[in-house]
Amino acid sequence: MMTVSPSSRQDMMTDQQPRLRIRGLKKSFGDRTILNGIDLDIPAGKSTVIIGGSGNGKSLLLRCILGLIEPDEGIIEIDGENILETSRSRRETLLKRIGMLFQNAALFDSMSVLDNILFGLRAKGKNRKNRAEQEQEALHLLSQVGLGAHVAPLNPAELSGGMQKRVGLARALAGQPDILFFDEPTTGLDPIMSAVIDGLISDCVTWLGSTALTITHDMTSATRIGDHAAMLYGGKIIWQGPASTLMDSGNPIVDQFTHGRREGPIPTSSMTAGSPAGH
Amino acid sequence: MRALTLPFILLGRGVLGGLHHAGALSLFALRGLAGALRLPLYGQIVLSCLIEIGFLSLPVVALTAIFSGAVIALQSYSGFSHFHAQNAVGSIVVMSITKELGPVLAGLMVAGRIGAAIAAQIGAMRVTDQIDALSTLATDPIKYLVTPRLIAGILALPFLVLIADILGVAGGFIVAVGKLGFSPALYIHTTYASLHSHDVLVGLLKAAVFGFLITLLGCYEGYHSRGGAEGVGRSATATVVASSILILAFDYLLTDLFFTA
Repeated sequence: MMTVSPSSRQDMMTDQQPRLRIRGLKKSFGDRTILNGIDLDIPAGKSTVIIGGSGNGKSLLLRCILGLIEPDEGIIEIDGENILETSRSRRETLLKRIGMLFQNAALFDSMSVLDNILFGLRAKGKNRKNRAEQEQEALHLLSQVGLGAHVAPLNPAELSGGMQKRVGLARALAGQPDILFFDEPTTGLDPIMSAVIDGLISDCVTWLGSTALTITHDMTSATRIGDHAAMLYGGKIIWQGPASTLMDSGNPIVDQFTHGRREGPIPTSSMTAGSPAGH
Repeated sequence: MRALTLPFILLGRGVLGGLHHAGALSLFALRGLAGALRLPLYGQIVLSCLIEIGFLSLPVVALTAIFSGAVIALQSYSGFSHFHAQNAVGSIVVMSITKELGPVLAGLMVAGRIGAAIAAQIGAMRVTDQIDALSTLATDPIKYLVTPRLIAGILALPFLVLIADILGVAGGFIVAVGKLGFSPALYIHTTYASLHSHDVLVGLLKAAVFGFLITLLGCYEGYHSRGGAEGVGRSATATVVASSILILAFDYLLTDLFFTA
């Protein structure tokens, strides 16, 4: 319903200090500019969804926030602290507050399901407990994502795509992070499993009271799990507003995308060129 | 004009590309080695890499060493018999095995077996986002994946070469005594007389350097894999080719460094 002008965005910001604040974020690969000045606020304790076509840099944006890729310029602040200017040890400390579910779950295939979750617990500083207590906590996390203890000794390759996503979610929730990132959590899943994963994400965000940022181009998922939504197009955030207005934004670009129309301001050729290396 | 300058342009690009690659590899190696100076040490991963690189490579290295020793005994016998110098066979076998063939052949075998495996393992982790997942779990992927493999490579190769030295000499002994009719006592005597601790130690030092190079290249190529399964395959191939060449190049450099007339 709203196209955010700088002044109205300023109004949104003054309501509450955003958990995550991004200003002027740019990233190019050679002569191809993928992110061209991203300005975005992610409010604390809310679920924000970023939509956008393939190759528009959604995952790249997430990787920049996580410090996996160094942006060319810009500011990324978590609770007012610019993570691009912090030391590596400080960044590692900040990462302990973050849980991430990758598009393909990215489970460690050399480890069992249980060890994957234990890895998450230990990495997030939960290694002060003894092994039995850690295993108990890992099994509890598994049960929270709807999986029984029988999957704990299995290898990730023995699980279906949906189950892998659930295990990935359990690992992301290890250590009760206060910021959660989800990279296309429902991609490749059937509609029922997508609804299950969406439900789990919503429940976990509510249960932890975390701030969530989800990257998706699944509109059903976006409206189901998001409180706020933003659209990334042409390297910029061109729209943001309540997720409930996503399908009726009034912005022709957003409308074309959300309704999946071939005709409109978005040339279909721009939807096929991905950012380098799948970013 | 373009035709005249093109070779220089290509040469310049090649040199710059090579220097860039060497610099990136050196920085990667430094980060990998520096990881050993910070906690945690991931001792369990080092141990499993030691078993993978050292213990599980033992059969292939052992067979290579035995047959190499046997071939040297046969070939040197046929050559030296023209000069009635057959008694030198034991000396030739022990010197060539301890100085050159033990470390070089063990290095090449491990490069084929382990270098490619490391590149494939880490490459598969890269293209399936597992390395990024490590970073998001506040774990330094270089320290977790590279440092243990470098340590294991440096420690395991000398152990393998020591075994290869013993088995290579044994291979020569079996052929010399069993096929060529040498007296066992005389063969052992000439072998022992030509066995110098300096040669063995230089061979072990070479082995440690080769172990470092193989694991470094495997980790580096795997870590920088791009392009799915095909990219992982390219990384494995590049590791074997590059480490084989570097093993031979560093063999010469180290031989030259420790050369005594």
